[in-house]
Amino acid sequence: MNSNGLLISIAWRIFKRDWKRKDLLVLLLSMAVAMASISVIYLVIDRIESATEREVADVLGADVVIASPREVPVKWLERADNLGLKSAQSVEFSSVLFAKEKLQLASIKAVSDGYPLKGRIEIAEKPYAESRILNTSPARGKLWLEPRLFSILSVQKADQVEVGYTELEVDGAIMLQPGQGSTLFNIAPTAIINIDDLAATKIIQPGSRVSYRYFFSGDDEALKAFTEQIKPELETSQRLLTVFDESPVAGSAITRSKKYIALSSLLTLILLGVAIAMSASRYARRQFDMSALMRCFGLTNNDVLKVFLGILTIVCACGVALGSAFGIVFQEFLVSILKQWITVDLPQADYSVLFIPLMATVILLLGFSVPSLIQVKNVPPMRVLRKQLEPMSVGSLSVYLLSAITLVIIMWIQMQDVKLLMSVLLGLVGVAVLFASLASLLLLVMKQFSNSRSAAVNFSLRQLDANKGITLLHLLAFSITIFVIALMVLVRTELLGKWQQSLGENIPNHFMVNVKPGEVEQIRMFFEQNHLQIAELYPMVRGRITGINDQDIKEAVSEEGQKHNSLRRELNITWSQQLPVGNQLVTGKWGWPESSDEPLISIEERTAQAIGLKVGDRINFSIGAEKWTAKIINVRSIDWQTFTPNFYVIANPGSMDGFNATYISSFRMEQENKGLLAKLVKQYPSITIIELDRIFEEVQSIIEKVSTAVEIIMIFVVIAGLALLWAAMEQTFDNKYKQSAILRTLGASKSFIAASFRFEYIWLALLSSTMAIAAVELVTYLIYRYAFEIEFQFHWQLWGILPAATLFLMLLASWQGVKRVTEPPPLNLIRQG
Amino acid sequence: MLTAINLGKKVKTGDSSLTILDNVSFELKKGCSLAILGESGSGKTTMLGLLAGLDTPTSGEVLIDGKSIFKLSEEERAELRKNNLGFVFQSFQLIEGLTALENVMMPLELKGDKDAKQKAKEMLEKVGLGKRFQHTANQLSGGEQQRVAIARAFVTQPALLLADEPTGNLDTATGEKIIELMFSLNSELGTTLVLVTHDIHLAGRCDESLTLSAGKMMSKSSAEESEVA
Repeated sequence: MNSNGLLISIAWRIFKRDWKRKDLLVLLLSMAVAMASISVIYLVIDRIESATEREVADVLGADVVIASPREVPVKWLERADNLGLKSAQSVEFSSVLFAKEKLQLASIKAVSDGYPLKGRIEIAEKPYAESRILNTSPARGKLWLEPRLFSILSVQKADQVEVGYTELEVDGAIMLQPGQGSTLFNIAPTAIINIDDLAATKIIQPGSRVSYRYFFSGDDEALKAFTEQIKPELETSQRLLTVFDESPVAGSAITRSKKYIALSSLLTLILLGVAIAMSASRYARRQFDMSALMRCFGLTNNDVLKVFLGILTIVCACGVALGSAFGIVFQEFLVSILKQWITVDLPQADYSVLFIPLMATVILLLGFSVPSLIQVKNVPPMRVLRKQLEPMSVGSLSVYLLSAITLVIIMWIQMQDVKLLMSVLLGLVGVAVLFASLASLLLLVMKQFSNSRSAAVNFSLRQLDANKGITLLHLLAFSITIFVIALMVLVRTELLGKWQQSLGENIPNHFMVNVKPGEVEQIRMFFEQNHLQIAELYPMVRGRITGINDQDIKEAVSEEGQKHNSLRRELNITWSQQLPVGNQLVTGKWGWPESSDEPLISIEERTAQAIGLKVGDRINFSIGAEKWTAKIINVRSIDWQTFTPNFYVIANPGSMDGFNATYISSFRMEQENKGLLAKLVKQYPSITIIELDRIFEEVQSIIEKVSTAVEIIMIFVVIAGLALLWAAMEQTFDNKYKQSAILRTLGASKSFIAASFRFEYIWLALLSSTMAIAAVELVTYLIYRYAFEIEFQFHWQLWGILPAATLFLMLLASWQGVKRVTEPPPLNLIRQG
Repeated sequence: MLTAINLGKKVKTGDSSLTILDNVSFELKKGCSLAILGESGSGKTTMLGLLAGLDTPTSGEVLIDGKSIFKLSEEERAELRKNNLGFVFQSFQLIEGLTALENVMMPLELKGDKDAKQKAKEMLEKVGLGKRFQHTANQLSGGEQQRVAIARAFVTQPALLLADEPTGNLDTATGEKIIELMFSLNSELGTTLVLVTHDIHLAGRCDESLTLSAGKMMSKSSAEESEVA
């Protein structure tokens, strides 16, 4: 029995030999690329995500917010305090403000000191004047008003305003406040007062409709512990808020980019896994003689396995060291470049996150290279006498199983998104089956052309067919690489495009609400006179769903459905003859019947799904004190990111004549025309203007960051793809070296041999890119539909660009290799005997 | 047909140089056969490689039909091999994955022969593999693989056939059959044959033989002389 010490020394000696012979180069570099790319992904993405989260918190006003219709238990606040979290509070309610014999219903927000914990409040001396940033509550006895309250109440700074039983002094105009994105449709304008003045107003009485918000911020661990403690104790009417509730655009950009990053890093790992598997299998094949020899010297096959596991450990250590060193240096370099684009400083790198890349790389190496090593262990010792003897190949089932388990573990480490994970898994299985059957079919077709006039073409086609197993493997490797690169570039382009579009130059950046019916024409005229564009002015009535088919919602809707937002608040209802821009019909037809004895409505898709509504259902609404029932005749999807007025419910014109409606619209106004806003509000005091451009700035900055993260990750997908391509190419050259020598002794010229090899790469490029495009179309369809919820479109341009690019890349990559295998004198072959 | 004049090959090993082949000369007439004998490391394979123009000598010349092959470029030497030379190797060297038929068709196709398939089939029939056209190398026994290699070597009817230990990887009985086949094709097609071997009996079947030792030509004799001796 051999001692382990001896085996380690043998392993070290073989490692040194193979290192000199460059046999381990591809394997080691694949590992290093794996470690480097995962490290960079983790380090940079971690830093970008931290910065993004910080900005998200600015939008929210805190890291975590609890919204509740009543005061929360004091012990919750004590817990936050014990965990070292900072906290602040706001109490929001509606009340009437009086000033100079004028009155207006307002949404009053009483805030405590320290509000907002994150983000900022901008206050101006007068509406639309230059603002200053304040990170505090108004002083006691003072209040801030939204610009339109200044004109409605005819007040100026230092004037007194009555709030309930007290009088407060106007201290400024609110130009920006955290969470402005969520308050777009709050009809009542906001006033902010100090929480200590609340008691004096005597407005809050038992039974008053009040919304309490508790703001918390602090370090991640404490926040996590806090939310975990609180979550189980939340009542159904209480909610933990995140940015996704507050700013749908930034929220969806972050969700999608996180999904993209998870998907990309997973695919990067898969590509590198295949690259490792290929280079390990190539290395293993070159070790068959060595293994047979060691067996002849008396080592058991387990000893041989230990020796090669020892070598693998050394490779792993070198790869990890090299990869992480490169990763750390590269990420610092990357961040220094990023700082020029990103306005906010990134936090310091947290090197503890490197533990995950380390684990992932080791698992990757073991999972993808051990099957090859088992083959080395199984080399029959008789090979020393008969070189043709090869080990039984490891059962393909166990190889696939091991790789599959590795992938699942890696996926587990990488993502916790079941839907995306299922999409990727289904996509991969689909792609593998599709590729294998398509490749076999295409090879069969191509074989028919192997009797052409060109001997080089014939030889190349026969080679593909003769080594069908290897050809399929290479086709799979190449097509998966192309597929992944194309997929990630495509998804990235469309995601970025979509975000850009949502923040595009001609997108409305102001909302105008609360327009009285009599003012509609005058406002249109105002815009026309000032040469400004305004979108359609829609009438709007707000109503609450109370029942379905005359059954109370508590009975008609499932418990889960009852939690849906649309049942917890009033919905915006409009009437329109046309289908608004950005709306698409999902079921039913657009168009109202000429005459109908009952009101008809079109409902938004997600609301319909969540509550379980279908065409034909009759919905009971309560609008003010009135009841109103309407029948659903179609379901629409809405692009919520268009920044134009969108409605959950659209009724047929005429069906809501009895209700008081106000009008709503959106328009674009550049900074230089802002002066017109004050004029507009002065002329029509009841309207509210919501300046989305301020929100855009925040969203833009968040999107800028997530886009950068997406760009970086794509670089690594491409690097991983190229690593795989390289590993696969290297593998093809081993076989070609011998072929080239035989052909040259048969009298084939170097140019003939090079041409025939290049033809092989041409076929491989054409076949693999065709297969990749087919798969890209299939998988993008699945991903867009189920993960990103973006509309799918065929990518016709890919069918031209991709084969051409692949052909170019493959010929370029194989140029040196082909030269290398055709150069050495064929005499070497005779010597090898 | 084939002439070697003062053929020499040296390789550098560190600071010194090692002589592999030293001043070897001989002449072989058209249709005749020559056995190159010698111990392992005596320079036999190097010499065969030089005769085929697969490697270049440090000194000397090889003439095929009076033409010095080393005055030709590498591509021209490949052209010369394509049109005039056939090869049989100790380890067969069939192109993996291709069928027996495709292997034999290969040199014909390289010459642009339109009847490649038909001629290859006939040659495989001739070597007794008429029922093995579609078998790939790993589906054939060692003897069968060597027959495919012989069919591939003879199918272009080369003027010169070079064989490197053609029976080295075969058992005695199979080896003898292969030798029979090779010599019968050789006489039938009038090919000039150069055979590297260390089998003295096999050498005895050749018209001439040449013995190498440490790169030097020790003796050269005709079959008659050998018999007399």
